[in-house]
Amino acid sequence: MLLRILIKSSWQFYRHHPAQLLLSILGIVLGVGIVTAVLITNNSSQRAFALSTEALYGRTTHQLSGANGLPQSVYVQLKERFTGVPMAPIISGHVAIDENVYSLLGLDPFAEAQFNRLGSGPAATKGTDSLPSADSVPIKTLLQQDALLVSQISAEQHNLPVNDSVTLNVGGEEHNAYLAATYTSANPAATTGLMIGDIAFVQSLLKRDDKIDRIDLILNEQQVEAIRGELPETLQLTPATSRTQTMQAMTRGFHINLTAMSLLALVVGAFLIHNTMTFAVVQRRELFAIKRITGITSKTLLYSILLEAVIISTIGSLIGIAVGYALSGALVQLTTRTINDLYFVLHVQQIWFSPWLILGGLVLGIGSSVLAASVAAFDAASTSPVQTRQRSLIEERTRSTLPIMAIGGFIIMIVGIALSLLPVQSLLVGFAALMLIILGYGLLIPWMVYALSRLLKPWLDKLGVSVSLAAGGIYRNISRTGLAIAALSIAVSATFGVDVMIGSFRSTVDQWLRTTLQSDVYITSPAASSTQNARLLATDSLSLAIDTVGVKSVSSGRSIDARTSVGNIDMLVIQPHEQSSLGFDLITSDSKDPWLQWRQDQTLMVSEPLATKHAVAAGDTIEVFTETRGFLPFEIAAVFRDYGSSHGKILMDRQVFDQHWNEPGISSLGVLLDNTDDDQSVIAALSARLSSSERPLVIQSNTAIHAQSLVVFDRTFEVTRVLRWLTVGVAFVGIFSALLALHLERAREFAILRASGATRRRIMGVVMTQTALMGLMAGALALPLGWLMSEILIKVINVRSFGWSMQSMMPIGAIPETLFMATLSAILAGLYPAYRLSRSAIAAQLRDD
Amino acid sequence: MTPAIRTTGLSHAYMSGQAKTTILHDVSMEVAPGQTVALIGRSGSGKSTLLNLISGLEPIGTGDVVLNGESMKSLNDHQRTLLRGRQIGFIYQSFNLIPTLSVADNIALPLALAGSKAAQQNHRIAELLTAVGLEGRNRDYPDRLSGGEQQRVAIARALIHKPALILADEPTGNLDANSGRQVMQLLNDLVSQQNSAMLLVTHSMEVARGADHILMLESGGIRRVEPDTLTQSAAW
Repeated sequence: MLLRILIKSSWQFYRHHPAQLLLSILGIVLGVGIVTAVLITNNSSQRAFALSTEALYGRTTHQLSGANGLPQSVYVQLKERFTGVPMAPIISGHVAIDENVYSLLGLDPFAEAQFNRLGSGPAATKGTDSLPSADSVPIKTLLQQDALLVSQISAEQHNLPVNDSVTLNVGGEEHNAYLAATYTSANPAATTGLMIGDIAFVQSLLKRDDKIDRIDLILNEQQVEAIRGELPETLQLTPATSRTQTMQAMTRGFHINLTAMSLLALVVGAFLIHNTMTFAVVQRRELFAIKRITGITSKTLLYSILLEAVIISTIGSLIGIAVGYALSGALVQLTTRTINDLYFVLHVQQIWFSPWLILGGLVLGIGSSVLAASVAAFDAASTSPVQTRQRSLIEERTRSTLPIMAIGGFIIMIVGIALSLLPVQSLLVGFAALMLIILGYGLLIPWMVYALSRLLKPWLDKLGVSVSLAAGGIYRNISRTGLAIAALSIAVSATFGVDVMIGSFRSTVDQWLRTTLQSDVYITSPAASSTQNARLLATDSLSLAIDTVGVKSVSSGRSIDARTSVGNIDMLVIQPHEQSSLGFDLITSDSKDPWLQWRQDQTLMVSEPLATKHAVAAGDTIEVFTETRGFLPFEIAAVFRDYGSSHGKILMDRQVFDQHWNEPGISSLGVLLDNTDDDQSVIAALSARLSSSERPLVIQSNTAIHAQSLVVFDRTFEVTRVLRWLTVGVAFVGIFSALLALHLERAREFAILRASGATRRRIMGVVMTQTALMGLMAGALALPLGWLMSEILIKVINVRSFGWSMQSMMPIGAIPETLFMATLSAILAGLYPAYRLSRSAIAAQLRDD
Repeated sequence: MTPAIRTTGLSHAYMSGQAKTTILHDVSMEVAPGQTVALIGRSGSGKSTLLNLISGLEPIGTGDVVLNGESMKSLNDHQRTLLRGRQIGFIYQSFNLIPTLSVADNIALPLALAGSKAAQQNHRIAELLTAVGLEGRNRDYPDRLSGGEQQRVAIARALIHKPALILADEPTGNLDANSGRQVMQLLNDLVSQQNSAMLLVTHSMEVARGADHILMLESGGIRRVEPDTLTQSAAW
């Protein structure tokens, strides 16, 4: 009953201060909104991947594969040997229609009966006279000449002509296919962007000759043992789930990074909530004093304030979850593009929203709000009714608390730094260290603000009365200004830190590209997506390139997806020219001449991310699944720097490769020119000699590849930039609400100034100078934290997420930009409060209570 | 002698919904330098409105206010504020000191706003602190002082820039009888020393009787009353 009266009293307060209520809610909405958006985005892409894998695997329990695909004959032999065991050959790849990339699955319709790939129920087709088959894939449809099935959702989305022919772009070559029908599956989102064709047709489209990618099987334990017992060492039987796990592990770091960025927004949001809740409490301190005098216990008062926080944060969290849902649409697009750029082709059709996300958003929103409000609530409840009315006492108490907070903050920071230096690979420990450093520094900020503003006061006094009043107002109201500056400072430091990290990364990648692109011209087949290995070049392309006028020498390369003891890894096989070795920056090696060692049998080099993630070094061995002898140990001759792949890369000499694989083809050429000034004419000559309509090529100068790579790099960080700006947005609302509340609380002071002869312009001047000084301080104090954050991001988070090490580099202009942004944010946030104060009715403010 | 403040035909009304409520009607009065005039009247009689108009906190509609020879009628808010800063000192019932400023800083405020040098301010602050009996309390904060002490700080602040007019709105309203008497004594002495004029709004007959003249606001109009006609039954 009593609590109900107290809550009614709170409601009356907020009814008369709707802006404050809105700002409190807005802080929670933004904080929860951003976290929810990222959680939904991560969930959506992970679910999309899992669902498409589940849909494509159907009831598959195991997969049989070789080092680089397997001969078709293996399937025939296996079928004869293990009669009755459900097995189906599979080929997969990618094709494009116009700008849209589709996954293409080639399967044998007659073998599919028991696999039930596209969902639990029978799939239905439209556009043909075939009835929904009892099997998952309608046989009659696929057996038509050059026929493909496309998911109905993709056909509608991209306006594909069903029952008509389409032109497919397969690695730059154009092929006609007949879009025989659309299909629906139990879960349409799982099959977005998927085309299905008969295995023979897909084999010819993807030029796989007599090879298939794998054989899917449905096996019980005895059958697994039986098959394993008879398999040659060059073939491997693995559970169907292992590939899914490998691919999910690839993007784990990426998803954790996104979540951490969003949590940073929540931390800033919590500061905002703390600010607004504190002001809401502070404004009513006299009311609370009256309540205490009338007999309400401090415990009841505490509960009523916390209950108020719960009610407000529940409303804010629910709206935040809705905002997060709306925001996730855009974020899903950005993250999907990055995953497609860096990892694998992924189609995310559906935003996945679960009740757990609502619960998670509510827990985060309410939890952080109650935590943020509890300081103010405890303060209000524990202060005696008489003391509650004494404003100077609050400031005095805050001032005496500042050194304790600072010492506590310093200790927390040291713990954070120590945690970051621990020799562990855990990304979560890295982020925990980062959060502790932010929290510790946040506690240090009010003390630094107080000390700095007192230190500067004598100099600022000389700049006139407005500046003097403004500067004095900062340390005299440190209980209010300290937190506002801390919130802005943390948000700005995140911007600065991320800027330095991205700048350092970009500069490192730029330098790395200059080193690594040793050839003047590169020749490859076009690929449907950047994450897919390019198709093979014609067998005579190497000799034709060498014989071209203007060409000094040529290196060749072949990329394959190698199975190793540490998972599936991209393997680059090269036959180097005289400058190729210069393109690899060797970080560690075990011998005097690592390149000589590398040419020996069963030796290779690994990239830094692979070495970091799997804790291997020069001199160690890793097992690679070879085509001729199955798993073989290979010694690591050296570790090289590589920013092309976060899941690692293996570099193998062509001669070594040829001893263990029967794969004579090459997929790229690196051409060294006699005269680099003449590269365009040599490119034209190479194009004329090597290209044909059947075998289109991509021939690019190293400068073009360099530029393209940086475009992809910039695109990769777009989502980080979006999150960073959202965090600044939260901080802006924070400083706005803090300034508004601070100045509203001081409305009477400003009215006294007005009555004493301060003009409106002067009041505006005092308020704006104060906000500008607060912004400038926030910017200045953000720099050390930002620098520390960038160091942690570069030296800890990046290394643990992606395995990339890099040098820190301060981008030119980052410091003045940060100071400017912080000051401008504060000035913009201060405009409205300043205007309101200068226009407020003096007489009403001065009226006696 | 030019009066410190003179109002002529001052009228003021406000709209409450569709209805127009007249607060002041044709109010004419003046206060000479060195003179103290008490303004009395029931609650809602327009005393505060008159002070607001005289101090330029509200724009003048009908009539005029001449402050130390300068008409406020045609002045805009900016000009009225500057004039107020130079010519008026305020004393309020609830003191209206800035809680986060020390005693010295509160007192210095009008001089600081006028742009005077710190050295000049310090000299004058010390002088006034002695005058109001608060020597050595310059570093204290207002809410650590008693009500009477706070009002002394407010008096010092009102007088520091030697204004032509002191507007005192119930200066003893929040004080006990003894403190009130001391504060009024101090105020009268200091105002008289500076030769400032003082318009004093009060509900206290004792305080009103100490003034040179007493004016009563009633039904929007103003009239002079003699101290001996004030009775206990006067319901203000």
